[in-house]
Amino acid sequence: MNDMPKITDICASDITRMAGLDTGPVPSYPYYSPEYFELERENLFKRAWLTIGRVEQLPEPGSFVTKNIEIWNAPIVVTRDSKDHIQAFYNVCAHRGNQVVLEAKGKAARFSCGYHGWTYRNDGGLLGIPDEANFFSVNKKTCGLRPIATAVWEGWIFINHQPEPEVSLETYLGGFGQAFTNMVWGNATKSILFEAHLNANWKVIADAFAETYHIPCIHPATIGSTFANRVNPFSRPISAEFWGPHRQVSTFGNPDYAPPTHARVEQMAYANIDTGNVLGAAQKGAMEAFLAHPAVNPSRSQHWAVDVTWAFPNFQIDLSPGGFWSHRFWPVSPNSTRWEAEFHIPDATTARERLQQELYVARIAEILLEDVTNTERTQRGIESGAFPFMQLQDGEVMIRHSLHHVDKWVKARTVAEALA
Amino acid sequence: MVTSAAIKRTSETTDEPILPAGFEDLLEFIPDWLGESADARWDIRARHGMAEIQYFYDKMLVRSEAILSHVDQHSLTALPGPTLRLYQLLLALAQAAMAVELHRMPRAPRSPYPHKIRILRGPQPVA
Repeated sequence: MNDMPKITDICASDITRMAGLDTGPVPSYPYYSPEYFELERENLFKRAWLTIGRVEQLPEPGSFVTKNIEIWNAPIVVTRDSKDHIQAFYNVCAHRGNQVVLEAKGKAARFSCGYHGWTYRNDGGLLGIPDEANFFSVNKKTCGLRPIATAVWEGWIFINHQPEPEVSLETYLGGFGQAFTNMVWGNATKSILFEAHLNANWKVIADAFAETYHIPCIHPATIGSTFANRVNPFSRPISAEFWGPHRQVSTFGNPDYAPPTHARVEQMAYANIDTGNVLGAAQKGAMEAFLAHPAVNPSRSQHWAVDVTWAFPNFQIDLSPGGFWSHRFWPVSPNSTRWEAEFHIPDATTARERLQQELYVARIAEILLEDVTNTERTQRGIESGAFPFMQLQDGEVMIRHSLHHVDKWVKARTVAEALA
Repeated sequence: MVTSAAIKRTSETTDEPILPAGFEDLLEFIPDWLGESADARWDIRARHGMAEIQYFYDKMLVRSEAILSHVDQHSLTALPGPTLRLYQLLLALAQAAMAVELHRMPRAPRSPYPHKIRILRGPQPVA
């Protein structure tokens, strides 16, 4: 017992002040005010670069996916053309506005609108207008699918609502982008996808995945003993990094975690499989290049569990010994959100490996259920107006940092001013 | 979800057994515990009471190593129907373990049922 480490040896303290943030209570109204939501729509979500997923979703020339960007009120289609160029377009026909591509994903060289048969190439160009002679000199060059500013960073596809974005994706990501350059995104081609439409503000849901203070309370059985122990009973984070509006917190892991003796299915499924902890899916040995990257467990702590990386405004990447996963929080209204979480897994070649993945998915599903169920209760409480402010502790620094930068963007006249 | 009618129809047309020979003792869990996706298996467990989950867990756990050995005689990407059903029963054990080994109740504490989360895409191969 004497050689038990002290919490101050493991966890950074005073990270809120280190980030240059105030320590007072934060206002609640950004979580429910319709006026604030409209400012977020116009000044934040229509000016910031937003992630829609990874390039592996478009595996070959001709691949396409469609998405609904609720906060833009826009259906979009993203394609990889014959020159391997990835581009997003409004999924809208130039004729009379019908949606051109109805499938969620697929492969096609051209798209034909189901209303009157206007046909487009997968690079957006308008190919043909049925009975074109009966129109009044339509300029086909200006009637292709309308492109959306698109850029790719480290395999992540970003879009921007501004026809000519005020800043490039590279400038937008800044030091965060540089820190993650050449990241090895292991098992990116294969993923498990969760989705829910939740009655909560997008920030309530993003906040739920941005701190570990809640873990011993909300997740006592699923991951309580993975993220806390006697030395760190309230799961304080190990360290934090901030790059402009982007941020990362390294969370604490209990190095002594092992499946409890009564967990016989867990023991059976994880026999000969070591994923580092129950949140990652890949074997530790296969993740060496990923784990060697300086942005993963940046403090090289022995007590490291997961890095929660929050790319502004609505995108989180989590890095763990067993690989990475991501969350996207898509605002729909002041108190509703479409949330998606994507977990990447390796190929299972044996029955035991596939069973272990099923157990992995089952546990992740329970954790997510505990998290997002709570967000709807939280939203109702915030909306009641009982408290005009919230209290945040040091371990909740990412929430404070998020609110600070959301507010900065909402009030800034230009993107340059928001990023300054 | 596979219905008993669908299994009966398959078996009648192909003379295919519902489960591989030697695993007839697990027929009592079909179609009740047979789900054709991770999302369906999650829902199946959530709909059962603790006594039923515990019963399924106990019976399946002792058969799990035999099932793993049997399934590994085939490629996971081309499991014959009876083997696929047997394996999907074993995959449901992962769900039963959430109730038995973690929560000690059928569902996560303080979670609603039905709930809004969907597993749109589960692990592959074997849905």
